[in-house]
Amino acid sequence: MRDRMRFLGMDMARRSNRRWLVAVTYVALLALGATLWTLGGNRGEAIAFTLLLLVTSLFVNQIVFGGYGCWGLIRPFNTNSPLGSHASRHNDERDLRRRDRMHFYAYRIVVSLIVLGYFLGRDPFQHPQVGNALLVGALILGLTLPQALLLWIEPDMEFEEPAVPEYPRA
Amino acid sequence: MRIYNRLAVLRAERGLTRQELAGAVNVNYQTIGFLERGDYGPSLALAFALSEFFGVPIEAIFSPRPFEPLKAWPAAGSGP
Repeated sequence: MRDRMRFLGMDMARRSNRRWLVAVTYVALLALGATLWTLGGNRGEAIAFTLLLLVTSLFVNQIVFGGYGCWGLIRPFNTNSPLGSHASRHNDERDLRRRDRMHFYAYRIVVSLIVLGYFLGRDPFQHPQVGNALLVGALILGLTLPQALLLWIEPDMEFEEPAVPEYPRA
Repeated sequence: MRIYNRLAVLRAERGLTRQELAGAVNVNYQTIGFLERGDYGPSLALAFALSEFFGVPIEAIFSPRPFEPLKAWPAAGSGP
């Protein structure tokens, strides 16, 4: 199981490693977005660059963060693997509850960004560029944030049986 | 609401691994760890499954109040 939780040589069963991955990925996405923003001139380029960010976010969603893909990093969160490589691991009630909650938190943030971007681009604010940037940010986060939150919040995964049972904290 | 439990004690008494207990009640063994540490409150269905597996009432496994340690109980035969 632990071997399947490796990504770029890092042990993703450890939360600290997963947090590094999330932080580095979002910094990279931010840098890419800023670069495209400075390059974008006309409307056609802006649409092309937005599509590029969309494709990059899909890549992050499926490959880097895992998410819904059978080849993803967080494979245990994928209930039915087409590859059948981890059929013994299914989502139980705790996994599903945690996953649902992270989606709820993520989409609350995404909806807030969309609403903010919409209003900032119109009267009386008249900041269309800021509004568009927020909308593109919402697009990226909508595709990646639930998985990122799961990676960030899930504690270290245990794979070995402790020698002595852990007793509940009083 | 925090739910306390005696899962670790019951599992140790029966000499079960987390994997075995998890398989018996159809959850992932990491969830057993979360339950034992008190980091997760089970659904009623899971609580019933655990109760049935151990053959004890639910209130013998789960409680809204901390369980008293066994050493605090009066020793057998030491009463009046």
